[in-house]
Amino acid sequence: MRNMDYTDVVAGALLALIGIAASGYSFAHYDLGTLLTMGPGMFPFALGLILAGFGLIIALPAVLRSGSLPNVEWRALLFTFAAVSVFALTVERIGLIPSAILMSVLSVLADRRGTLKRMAGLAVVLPILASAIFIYGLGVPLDLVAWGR
Amino acid sequence: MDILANVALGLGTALTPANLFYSFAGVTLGMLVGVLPGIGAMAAISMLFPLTFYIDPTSAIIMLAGIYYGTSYGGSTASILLNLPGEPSAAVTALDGYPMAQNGRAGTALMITALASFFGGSIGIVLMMLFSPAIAAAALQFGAWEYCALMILGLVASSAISDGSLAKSLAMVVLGILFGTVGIDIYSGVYRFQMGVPELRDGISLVAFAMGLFGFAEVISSVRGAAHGAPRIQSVTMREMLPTRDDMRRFLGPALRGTALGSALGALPGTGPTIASFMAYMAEKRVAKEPERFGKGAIEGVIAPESANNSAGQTAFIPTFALGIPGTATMAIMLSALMMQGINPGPSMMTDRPEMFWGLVMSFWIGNLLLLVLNIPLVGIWVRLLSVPYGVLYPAILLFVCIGVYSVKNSIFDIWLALGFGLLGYGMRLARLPVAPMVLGIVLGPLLEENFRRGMLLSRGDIMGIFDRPISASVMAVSGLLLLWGLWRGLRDRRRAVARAEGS
Repeated sequence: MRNMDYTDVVAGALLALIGIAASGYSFAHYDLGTLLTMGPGMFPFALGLILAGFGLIIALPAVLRSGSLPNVEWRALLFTFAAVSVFALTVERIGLIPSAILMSVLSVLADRRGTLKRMAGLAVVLPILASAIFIYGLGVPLDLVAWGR
Repeated sequence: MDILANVALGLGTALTPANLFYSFAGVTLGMLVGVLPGIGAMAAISMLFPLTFYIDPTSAIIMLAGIYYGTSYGGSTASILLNLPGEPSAAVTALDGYPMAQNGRAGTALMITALASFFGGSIGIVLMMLFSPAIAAAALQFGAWEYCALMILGLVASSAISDGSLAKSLAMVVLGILFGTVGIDIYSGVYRFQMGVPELRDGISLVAFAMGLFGFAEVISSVRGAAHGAPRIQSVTMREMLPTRDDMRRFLGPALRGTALGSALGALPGTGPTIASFMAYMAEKRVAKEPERFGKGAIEGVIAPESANNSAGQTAFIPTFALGIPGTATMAIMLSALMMQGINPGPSMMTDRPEMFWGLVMSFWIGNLLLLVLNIPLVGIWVRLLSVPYGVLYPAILLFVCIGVYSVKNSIFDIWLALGFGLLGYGMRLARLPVAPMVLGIVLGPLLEENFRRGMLLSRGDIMGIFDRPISASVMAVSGLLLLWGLWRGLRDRRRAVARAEGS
């Protein structure tokens, strides 16, 4: 237990910041207009203020309340992030099959209990399955293999 | 009467071989993702969303709907056998379903679940057939303020009734609406929050949004917790499935009460199957002669929530199609699938595209019958599916989500966007910020803004205009009451928590 509910303090503060940023940005860049004929900035400006209000309502009482920190699954988070990023970076350059193999390997690492056998199996099965469904079945315009592009 | 003509028209659409196939594919997939914990209806629908660009819109919506109500059948299987709900709406079923399984009555529990689901689903469909045309006809008279008020009701109801903090839910609604403002402003042609990214001109891709929040975030938080290796599951034979005469005698009451509650909550914008199943369970426990049996394998505790979540699943289509206002996050995604096909759900859909509306309704009958067949004789297959370890599933989910997001607009940017929302969604989970109100917000936001601005024009810049018209004023009053109720509930829970803390 912590002497402050940090989770809610941080979450509320972030929401308040997002709200203020959205309001400020709308105010600076878009025409607010009048209540009768609202400009493009009015709606997001008002929403930002409301969001900031809710952020404070979440954060302020949490300062006086004790709470526990949530458990972050760093390993799952990191390797999921890596797997998806690698796919996004490579799929148009090297083709679906190699990109899916890379992704299978990285995503199995997200699980502490993932085995080499599972990694190898998925690295074979998933690219075949994905090409069959998406390229042959649905005609998604991706290359199977596209080295050196 | 013309309802018969409509039924005939609907059957003509639903019974074409292609539509039968898509209905079958939809409910089977729904069963599948419903049975598997760690992947829900939202993730499945958004993953298959791109598929709908390749097939006829009516077939597409029949399939997506099949996934949706199929999951409420499948979700209970894992609840009963493993005490692990496959879907949030089936969480309550575990309370009595799992003890039943431990008492060696798993087969009966599964059978009675399928029957209760079919019962609730059927009545939900009948209600949809009877009421949608009338509601749509009334809605043709609605102006900007009425729509505004109804959308506010949906957004408020989804926050006030969900468990957890009211302020958090409402904050998520507002954040969702804010995300909805990204892209071109239809009144002025100004691009808002585009940040120099050309891909954001048409707004945030809803597929990327939903897949990030429900695909990526779900995987990150399930990888570690999910049980690995094959869990021990008892095999279920057909003979064990037959309910006793005592079971059947207990069936009708809870099924009717569950269906009544479920249908009402499903039709209300903002509330859906999950809440319906919880409320039905609580209500059943309250009216029971021997409430102490609940939690120890009372069959009523399975019948009531299962009939409630399935009837709610069906009546949730009423506001979605008759008003064009989705009541739940899943419905919001279905609605946007239709809009991307150039079809505007709403009161005029029933007159403009009757074959689509009635075809869909008739496909519900077919789908529910298929589900009954899929459930009862094939239960062994679903039980075996439960032993597929999550460690094999999630890499496939990640890959299919990536390709799915990409294929909507062949855009790498959308994968990055989905990844961003995945991180946001994971952070929200950690902070116990609910995701569903945000999805409702991003879908309803643009409609809300459009109608709000039109309403302000009509009432000469006076925001009180919304209270000048009887329908919008009464809908706003209901929203106000719901807000007060949510506040009161929050205060009561906090007082109880404090009392408990002091007492211990």
